[in-house]
Amino acid sequence: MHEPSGNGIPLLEIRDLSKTYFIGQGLFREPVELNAVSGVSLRLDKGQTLGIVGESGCGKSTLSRMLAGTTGATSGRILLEGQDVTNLPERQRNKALQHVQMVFQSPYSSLNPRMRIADIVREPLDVHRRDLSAKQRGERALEMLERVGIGKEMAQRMPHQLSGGQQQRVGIARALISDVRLVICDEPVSALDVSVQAQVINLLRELQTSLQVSYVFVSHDLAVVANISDLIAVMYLGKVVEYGRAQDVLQSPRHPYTQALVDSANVPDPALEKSRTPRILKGEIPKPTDPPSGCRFRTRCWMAQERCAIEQPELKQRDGSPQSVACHFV
Amino acid sequence: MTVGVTLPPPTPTLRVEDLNVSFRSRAGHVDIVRGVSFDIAKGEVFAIIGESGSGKSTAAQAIMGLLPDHARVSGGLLLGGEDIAHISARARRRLLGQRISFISQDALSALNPCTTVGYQIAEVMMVHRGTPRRQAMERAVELLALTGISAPEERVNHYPHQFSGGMRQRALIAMALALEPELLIADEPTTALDATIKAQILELLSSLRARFGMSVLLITHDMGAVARLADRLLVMYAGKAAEVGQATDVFAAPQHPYTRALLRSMPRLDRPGEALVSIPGSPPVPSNPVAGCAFHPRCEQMGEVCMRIAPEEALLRDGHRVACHFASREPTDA
Ligand SMILES: Nc1ncnc2c1ncn2[C@@H]1O[C@H](COP(=O)(O)OP(=O)(O)OP(=O)(O)O)[C@@H](O)[C@H]1O
Ligand SMILES: Nc1ncnc2c1ncn2[C@@H]1O[C@H](COP(=O)(O)OP(=O)(O)OP(=O)(O)O)[C@@H](O)[C@H]1O
Ligand SMILES: [Mg+2]
Ligand SMILES: [Mg+2]
Repeated sequence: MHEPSGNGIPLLEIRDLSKTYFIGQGLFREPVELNAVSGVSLRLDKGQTLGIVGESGCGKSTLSRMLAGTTGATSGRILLEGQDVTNLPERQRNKALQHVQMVFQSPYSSLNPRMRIADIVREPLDVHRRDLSAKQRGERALEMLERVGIGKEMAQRMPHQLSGGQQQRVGIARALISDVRLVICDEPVSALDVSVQAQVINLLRELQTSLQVSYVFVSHDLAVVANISDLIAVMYLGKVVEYGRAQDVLQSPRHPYTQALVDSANVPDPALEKSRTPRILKGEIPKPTDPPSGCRFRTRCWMAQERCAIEQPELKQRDGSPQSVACHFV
Repeated sequence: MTVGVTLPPPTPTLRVEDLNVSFRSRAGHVDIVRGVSFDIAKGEVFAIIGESGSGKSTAAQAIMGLLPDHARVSGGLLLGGEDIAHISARARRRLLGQRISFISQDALSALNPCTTVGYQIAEVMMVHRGTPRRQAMERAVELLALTGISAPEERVNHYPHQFSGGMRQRALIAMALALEPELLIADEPTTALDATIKAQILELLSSLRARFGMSVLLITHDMGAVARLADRLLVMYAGKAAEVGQATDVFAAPQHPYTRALLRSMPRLDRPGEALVSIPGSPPVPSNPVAGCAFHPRCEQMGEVCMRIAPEEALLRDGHRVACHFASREPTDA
C-alpha cells in the first residue's frame, strides 16, 4: 500500500492543485491559457521522500514553486501539517512557510556571490531565529557546515572558490539549518559528477534520518530517484498519471507513459546500450495550450482506443496494482 | 588485419595538442588544463567525462576561444588540418561560427530574455548564412520540432521564461544545429531532459553524424548518454587526461583507479535504496596542486612513486591511453 502509513495528519497534503499561465499573443489577441499543473493531489508523511518524474515541461518545477510558495496556485489547496498555506499574503506566508526550504539545480546561481559561505548559511537564522545571539547563530552555521563536510577553513571562502559539489552542499546546509520540515529539491544533483552526486545523495539521506525532514525530489535521473524516494509521482502534461511506492512504480510500471520512460532510461554500459532499441515515443506531442480530450497521453499511446478520447481516466488503484494509475487499460 | 598499402590516416575534424590553460589570480597563475591531447575523427562522437571542476568546460571554451582575458592558453588546435590557434581573434570567431557550434553548460541563462526564442534561432542563420528572415523563421520552427518541442509554430513566439528548463535546453540544441556544423561541442546538453526526450535527442545527434558526418565533442556527467552515443572517451581528473580509449573498452575494463571509482559511484535502477559509494577524500583544489599523481591521496592502489612522480600517459592498445604507474601495460599491437 502506498497510502502513508501514519493515520495522523500528513506533513504535506496537496488537493486538486492547478496552475494556469496566461500567455500573451500580441496586442490585439486574447492571451491563451496554459494549464501547467492540473488537478494534482498527493500526500507525503514526515521523514519521507516523494520523487517527481515526468516529461520536460510537464509541470514539475511549477508544482515545486507552488509548494515553496514562490508561485501562486490558480486553484486547489496546499496543506502543511494540516494548515492551509495556499496563496497566503506575503507576511503570513513567510511565517507559515518558514519550515519549507528549496534546493535548486544550479548551486552557484542560488548562492549570493558577494557573501562568504558562513554568512550564506547563517542567513536563514538571521531571519527566523532572532531569539539566538549573533554569536550563537554563527556557531550553528559552522556546525551545520561541518555536518555537510565543509570545514572551518572553507567557511570563509566566497562561492566561486568552491567546486560545484561543494556549492551544492552549502545550498543544502542553508536549507537545513533552520528548523526545517520540508525541503523541495528541484534537480539538485543534475550538475554534479556521479561521485559527488553519490556524496550529496548519501548526505541528504543521512540528514533525513537524523532530522526527520521530508523531501520532494524532482529529477530526470530515474536511478537517482529510485535511490532516494519512498513514493514516486509520474507526471504527464500537468497531471499525475501514476503514483505509488518507488519500487512498484519503477520496477513494474503500469501506465504506458511510465513504461516508456523507464524503457528509455539509458543503461550505463556501452556494449549493452548500443545494441538496445529503446521505445521512442511516437505520435503527436500535444500542445499544453490545447491538451487532448480524455486521456492526455492518448496521442502518443500505443494502446489508445476510442474510449480514451472521450473519458478522462481517473488516478486510482486498478486490478490489483499496488500503485494508483490513470489509465483505462491497466 | 593486414593491408597491402598503408593509407595515410584521414585528417581528424579536430586535433587538440598539449592544451594548457591557466588563470591569473592574486596568488599567481593557477593551472586548470594541463597538457590534454586528443583527436576527433569525422563523424565521431568523442566524450569527456570526469570530476566536477577538473577543467572540462575550460578546455571546451579554450577550443572555442571564449575564455576571459585573464586566461592563458597554449597548445595546438587544428580544425580539419587548419591551424586555428594562431589566427586573429576575429578570423577565429568567424571560422568557428561557420564550422563549429557550441552549446554551453550554462544553457539555462544562455538565452536572451528579451527576444523570442524563435527569433534567436533564426538570427543565427540570418547573421552567418544571410538567410532571409522569413525563411530563417520557418527553419526555426522545423528545428524546434526536430528537438521534440510541441506546437513549435506557437513556441517560436514565446520568450525564454515561458519555456521550462528542458525546453530551453532544447532551444539551444536547435540553435546549435541551425548551421549544420562540422563539429558540435556540447557541454552538458541533456542534464535538464527526461529519459524519453533525451533518447530522442541522442537519436537525433546520432542520425546527424551518420547522415552528414557531423563530429561531436560531448562533455557530460551522464554515463548513460556516453554509453549510448560515444565512440571514444576521455576521463579528466585535475586538469589532465587520466584515461582515453574506446567507450566500450573503458567501461568494460577501466584501467585508471579514478575511472574505476567513478564508475562504481553510479546509482543503479535495479538496486534502489542502496547506499551509494563515493570516492573518499575531497577533490583537488587547482590553486594548491598535489605533488606526484594528482589522484594519489584518494587512490586505493597508491604506491610510494605516486607521491613523487606524475605518471605519463602510456599507450596500452587500440589507442587506449592511461596515466597511472600501475596500469597493466600490455604490448601495443603493431
Ligand atoms: N512563467 C511562465 N509563463 C508561462 N508559461 C510558463 C511559465 N513557467 C512555465 N511555463 C509553462 O508551464 C509548463 C510547465 O513548465 P515547468 O517549468 O513546470 O516544467 P518542468 O516539468 O519543470 O519541465 P523541465 O523538466 O523541462 O524543467 C511548460 O509548458 C512551460 O512552458
Ligand atoms: N574564469 C575563471 N577564473 C578563474 N578560475 C576559473 C574560471 N573558470 C573556471 N575556473 C576554475 O577552473 C576549474 C575548472 O572549472 P571547469 O568549469 O572547467 O570545470 P568542469 O570540469 O567543467 O566542472 P563541472 O563538471 O562542474 O562543470 C574550477 O576550479 C574553476 O573554479
Ligand atoms: Mg523544471
Ligand atoms: Mg563544466
